[in-house]
Order: sequence, then C-alpha cells, then structure tokens
Amino acid sequence: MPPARPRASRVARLTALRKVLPAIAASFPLALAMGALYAWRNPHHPTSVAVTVMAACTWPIIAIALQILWFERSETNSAIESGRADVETAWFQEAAATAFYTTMGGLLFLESMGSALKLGWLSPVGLTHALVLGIGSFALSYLSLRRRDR
Amino acid sequence: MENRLAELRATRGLSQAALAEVLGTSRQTIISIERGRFDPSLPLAFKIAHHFETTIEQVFTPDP
Repeated sequence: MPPARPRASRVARLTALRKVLPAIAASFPLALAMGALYAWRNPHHPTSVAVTVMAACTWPIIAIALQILWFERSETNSAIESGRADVETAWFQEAAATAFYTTMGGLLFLESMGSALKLGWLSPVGLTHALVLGIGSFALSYLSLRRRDR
Repeated sequence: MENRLAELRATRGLSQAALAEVLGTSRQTIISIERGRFDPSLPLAFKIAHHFETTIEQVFTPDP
C-alpha cells in the first residue's frame, strides 16, 4: 500500500487547481468555437469528430494562453520586470534586435539574388527562409554575446 | 560605467552566487556588472547600494 501523501501537498495542488479553473472554464467555449470553425471550413470531415478533435487540441493551448495573458497578467508583468534586471534579458533583447534586422535584410538579399540568378530555391522567399534566417541569427547572436561576457 | 561591486563583495566575503541570490538576479549578471560589461537597471542598482548600505554614487561612477 503506497504511503499517504502529505496533506500540505494536497492543499497546494488544490490551490493551484483553483487558480487555473477560471482559465479552463473560460477557454472551453473558445475551444468549441475553434472546433465549430474548423468543422465549417472542412465539411468533408464528420462534424462531430471535427468539432471534438479540434476543441480537444486547442483547449489546453487556449487555457494556458488565457491563464498567462489574462488571469495571471500581474504575475507575468512582475516576472518581466524582474527579468529586466538580468544580463540574460539584455542578451535576449540584443539578439532579438539583431535577428530582426538580419532577417529583414537577409530576406531582401535572398529574394534579389534568387531573382537575378534565377534560383528557384532562393526566390520567392518563404516561411522556411524566414525561419532559418530568424532562428539562426538569433541563436548565433545570443551565443556570441554569452561567450563574449563569460 | 565603472563600479566597485567586486571590492564591496569581497569586503563582505560574499560569493558571486550568494550576492546574486540575495539580489534576486543571476550569477552571470553579477559577473557582467563586475567586468563592466553590463550596466544594471536602476532598481537593481538601488538594490545593490541598499545591500551594501551605501549610495549608488559610491558603487557606480560614470566613465570619464
């Protein structure tokens, strides 16, 4: 027979659950609406299955988003404020700015080169190019800043 | 900006990790401030000065 869990941890779990219940409840109709929208745009799928699957997939995501953006906004704001004191946040911001300019400039360069040289894999630029440039330049910039300061 | 953080920390016998914990920031932040590579935010500068029972001007001085 497993040992009984301490009462304190059960109380903590109940408190945590009580904190997220409003977000879970509020996100349910939104998830259903997403399911209905999906079913409407995809009439070749059985309606009930489409609604259920889409609602089930989006419910947790919407619940987490509501919890962070709406119900725990003050906690999120204070977390952002406290994060501003860290050098890691400064690295992150600098890397994000570098990634933004690199992506913008890089996409223009790739498009120009692709058009001029008639390279199909370069032009027209797409999501893959943007992601590779954005994530790549962000990662390189962050790592170089981190290395410089160590 | 120049600072006396390393010196003040040494007088108290505090490690970088211990000071970071007290100030609610990361050890890397302390390292970067001490090396002059990162200027802390005003709230963090106040926290540092308050912790060492001094003023911000006594800890940080602008570059000449």
